[in-house]
Amino acid sequence: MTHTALRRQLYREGKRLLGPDRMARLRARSFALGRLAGRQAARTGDAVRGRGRGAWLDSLQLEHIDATGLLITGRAVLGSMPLDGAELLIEGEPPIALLPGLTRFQTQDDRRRRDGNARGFAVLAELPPGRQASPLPARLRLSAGCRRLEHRLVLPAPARIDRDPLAQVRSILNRVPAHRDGRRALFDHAFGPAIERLWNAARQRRAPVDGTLAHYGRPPSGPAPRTSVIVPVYGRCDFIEHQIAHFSFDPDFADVQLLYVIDDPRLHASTRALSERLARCQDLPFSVLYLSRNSGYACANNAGARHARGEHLLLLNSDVLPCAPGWLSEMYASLPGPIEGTLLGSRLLYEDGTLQHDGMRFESADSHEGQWLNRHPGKGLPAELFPAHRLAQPRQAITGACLLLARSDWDRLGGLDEAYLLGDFEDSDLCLRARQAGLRIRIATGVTLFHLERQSQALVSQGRWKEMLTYYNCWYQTRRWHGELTRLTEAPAHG
Amino acid sequence: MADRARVLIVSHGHPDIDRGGGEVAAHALHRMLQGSDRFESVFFARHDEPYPTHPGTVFSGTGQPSEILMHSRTSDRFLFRQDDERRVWREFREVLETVQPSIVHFHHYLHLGLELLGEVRRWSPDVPILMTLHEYHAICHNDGLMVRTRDRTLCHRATPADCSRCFPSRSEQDFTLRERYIKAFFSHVHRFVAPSRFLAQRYAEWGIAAERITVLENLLPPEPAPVIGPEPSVEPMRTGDEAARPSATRPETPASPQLAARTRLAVFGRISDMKGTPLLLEALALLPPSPRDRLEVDIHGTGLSRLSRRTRWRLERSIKRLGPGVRLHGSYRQEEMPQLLDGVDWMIVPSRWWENSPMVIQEATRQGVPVITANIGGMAEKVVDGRTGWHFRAGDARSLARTIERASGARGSRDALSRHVVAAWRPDRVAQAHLALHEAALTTLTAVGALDDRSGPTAWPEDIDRAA
Repeated sequence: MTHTALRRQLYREGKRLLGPDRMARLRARSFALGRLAGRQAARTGDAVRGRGRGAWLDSLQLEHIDATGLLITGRAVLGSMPLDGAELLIEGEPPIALLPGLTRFQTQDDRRRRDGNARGFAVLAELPPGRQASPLPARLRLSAGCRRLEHRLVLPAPARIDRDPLAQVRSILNRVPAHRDGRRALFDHAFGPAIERLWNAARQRRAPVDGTLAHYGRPPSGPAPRTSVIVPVYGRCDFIEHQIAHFSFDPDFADVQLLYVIDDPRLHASTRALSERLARCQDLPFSVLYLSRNSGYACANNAGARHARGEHLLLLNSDVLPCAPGWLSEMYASLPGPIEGTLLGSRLLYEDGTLQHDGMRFESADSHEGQWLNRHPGKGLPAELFPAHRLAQPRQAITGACLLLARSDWDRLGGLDEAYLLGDFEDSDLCLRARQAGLRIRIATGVTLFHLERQSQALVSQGRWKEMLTYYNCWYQTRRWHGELTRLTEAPAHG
Repeated sequence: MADRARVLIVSHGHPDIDRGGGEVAAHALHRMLQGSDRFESVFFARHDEPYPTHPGTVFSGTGQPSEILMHSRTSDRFLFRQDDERRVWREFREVLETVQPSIVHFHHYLHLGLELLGEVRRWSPDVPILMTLHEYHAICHNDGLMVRTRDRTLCHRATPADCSRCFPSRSEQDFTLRERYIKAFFSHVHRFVAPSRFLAQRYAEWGIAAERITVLENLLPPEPAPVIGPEPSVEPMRTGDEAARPSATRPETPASPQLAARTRLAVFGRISDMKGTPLLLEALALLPPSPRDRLEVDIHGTGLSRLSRRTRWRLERSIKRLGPGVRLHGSYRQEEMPQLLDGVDWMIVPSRWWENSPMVIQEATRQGVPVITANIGGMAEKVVDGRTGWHFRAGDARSLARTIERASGARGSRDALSRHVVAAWRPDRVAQAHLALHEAALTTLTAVGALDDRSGPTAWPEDIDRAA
């Protein structure tokens, strides 16, 4: 029997034995006593655990970010005053002040309540270095006005080296409140730096991803091809068959190294079977790089580029399909000179003939508390309303779903930044770095391909953490490029 | 082409998704303008399917060139406000800036938001705005029917006091505010298009200057052309009137004289009380068995799935009781109309509300079928009693029954009416008038600017027909 049920039963029994009036008086007295005890406890600074009166703390979660970082989230109530003190006390160590970085947020419960108080809190604590890898007793002390609260806890051992960083990111992102108010501050002070440090630490301690390369059809020989087409594959591999059905009758692909990068160990067996079948029934040679683990869009492209032999690289999404053969030479033809010094994209269409991508524009959105978003002007509108030019047109940024550049420029820029999570914003980041290095960003508006956008991404298990992942990437881009983006969008002309 | 003026047609729905008369008329206008050498047209429609089609945008296409779909869900049917203001200042503005229209032609404000009118004006102070009025939504809060909520009687004039009696939860002041609010946005419109004189009259009485209203019939979508060449005809050649009909839609000749002697009636449209389905069934039940057995009634009803199970069961029971001569068919496609109307002797339009310009009457005119219809509103205007059809007293089952009985034994007069109907079909003139309207919008309206009607309702001219 639960505590509440027992109390109810006792109350019913009491009412039967003593009569309702006496029982009601007794109840009022015990209520007053309980309140008194709560106040007493708050004044004396005794530990109040669970739900006391006036001061309580629950839903506490601790997560080690790296050797010293500890992300603490929970719910705490100390009356209605704002917090004026928060520290973590560890035996034999000076107290660790938490207040400067501590951010309050409204939990789902708070939003239903009328007082609107924020009970949630999140803070990234810095622990003293050199502690042992064993659990440690500690206390969390919070104070607000005359109320104080002390909570005993056990610091978990630092994260084990082999823990999957993506799983950890996911568990952290799932803790971000669903509503948007104040999310920027939460990311600025707690969640953003936590994920950034965690991801960096994981990247440092893990060996760079590599895999095994397999050739299908005629093995590569002779001089380097003009273009290496790098296609990362995640979630489903049947796009390979569709792409090759179009590419194999395209004369441009005689001078192309087609390289698929399988960024999904679950697909290795089915891709092998598919590739062997394709090698038997058609004559376009292609290579497949089987990565040993899922490492995200940037890593997969960088790994592919390491195996690319071409003078130029074309980053292509697996769900991009040509409208007609000859598109690759048309892309080259849209530039008055050589590709060196230019990042060149093409126009992408949805299956219903509307625009998916015609270049990107950076926009600082109020709805995202000043974060910089990548906007796709004209997205979803009929493509014929947008003029197609013979020569490539300048844009602020272009998508990585179809991006052509010279190998030398790629090496100069250092490839895609692996600090972004999974697959978002790496392309705009590459464009921003390219702009900084004096490269041009162009789009061939006369060359169109179909992009079944997010058909491949929809395979990533959806949910709140995916939305937060995008938010994190957006936050990271904003933090890194805010100054540059402000200058860029204030400039009257771009290109 | 650079010298073709671009028209943006704004519709509250796309006929592929919601096949209402307004949507079909808007799309037909778009197709007609696209085919002209003077204009090019972009069709903008909203939809409220469960999810937007593409990630990160509310826009999508239909697969047809120059058609834009926007996802939007707006529930406000009182002030016709757009719930999500981003649709107005961001998305609709993006459409305007992309399309750069020379004329914006609204085919509704319902589900779209009246604010779009203001956004066009903010975008350009002098682009002509046309608006085709489809129902009486601005005048009447009861779904634009101008029918009283309590007893479903016909309403002749909306006043705030009367409206508040229909909707006791809203005060007289609410209705005054509503009227003022709608008129504030209507003041941006250069010219209103009314598909019927009756509707024009109603809006003129409500306070839109009659000289700002042009009476112009809706366009029908062109008759479907055979997809794969003309079929080799196996039927003998016909002469006269019959030869003019498309041979592809000709059904088999009647099998027996009994069948040939029967009178075929057809009803089209949504199954609902206001569209008169129960009224028709009541009238059929009133008929004595002898004329009823000589009738074949086909009810082509859309919206069957939206009826409650109980209503549907009742409907099916009363149809069953009428015997094998009355059949309920499900929904139909626009392209099937010629086929469904072929061999039909009379069409019945039994609506209990005013109607505006029912598309089915136009379809009947195109196919040369005379119409039995109620003697009110747009229906009475489009069907001339004794010339292109017969009238009955609106809402009166006995009157409808008598008219049907008369029709069942009058093959001679039916054929005479049919000849008048064929003569009344002038689709080219309607198309020409629409082209002239847009031409005028380009030349005169941009020069003159919007006519101001804020002077308040004065004496409206009695005859607004001259505007047509």
